[in-house]
Amino acid sequence: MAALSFPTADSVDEWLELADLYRALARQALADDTTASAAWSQAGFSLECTLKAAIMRRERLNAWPSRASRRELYTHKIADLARVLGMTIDEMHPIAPAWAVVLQWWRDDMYSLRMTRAVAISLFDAVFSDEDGAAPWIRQNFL
Amino acid sequence: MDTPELSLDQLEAGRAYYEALGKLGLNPEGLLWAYDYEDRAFRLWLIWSGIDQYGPLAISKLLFKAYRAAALPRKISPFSVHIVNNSHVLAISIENISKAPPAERYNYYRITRPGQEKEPILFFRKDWIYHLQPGRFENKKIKRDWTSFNKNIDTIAA
Repeated sequence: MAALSFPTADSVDEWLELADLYRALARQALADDTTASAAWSQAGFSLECTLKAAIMRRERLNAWPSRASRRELYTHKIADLARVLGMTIDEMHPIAPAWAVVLQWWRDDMYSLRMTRAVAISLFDAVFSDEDGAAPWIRQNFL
Repeated sequence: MDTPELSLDQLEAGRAYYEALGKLGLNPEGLLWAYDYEDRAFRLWLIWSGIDQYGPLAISKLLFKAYRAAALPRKISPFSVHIVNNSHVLAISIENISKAPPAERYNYYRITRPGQEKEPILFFRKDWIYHLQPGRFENKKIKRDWTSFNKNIDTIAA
């Protein structure tokens, strides 16, 4: 069986297209109790793509760097990508509660055995809420 | 590799955190420190099944609100607090240690393929556990605690 790999993009717009695609998949997964927990993976991927778009914009990159030249960009860890972006969120920051939740994204997805629909919705909101979600804040401040 | 040690200061702060949570009305099923190898940091694990009903974001918002109002110890950043339900693998693992032989430390490993070296994810010690409630609280208690927790934090933060 061929291994599946996370897609990459070569421009800010392409990363944002992927972010929008994953957001749509997350919303679709939320619609059904049996697929709700998958929404969290898709929401996390969407945030990852948003961060990668922001990194490209901030560093004025014309193409996504190769793994050999920028190994630190080839990660799913939200905290590591945010560090590359130079994003710092302290305890008093308006998005701090949502940020604390999304920082756990990758790990909880892997190690949590069960996830209720309420949890999946909460995680979706931590990423996408217009009021205090992580992704809208990154778009507003870095893109 | 040196074994990371939880400082006495952190150990005491964790106890103060547990007591403060109780005063605010939230009595979790478990609270303990564990060392996270990937983050190279100690995390305070809060095990509470209310997460299944209210979600991590709502709980996180209250923990930050309480922290900002100094209703929870300032020595523990809410970014260091990891909230899980009692069916999370760590929660199950902690529950199992009561049946396990005494040990200096309890390791939790990533599941690997046969033949691969085991990769540690985290470890904890028995004396880092402030509280552990076997099983899951009834929904009625969870709801009661959640209502008190909200109300008390709102009052303090007002």
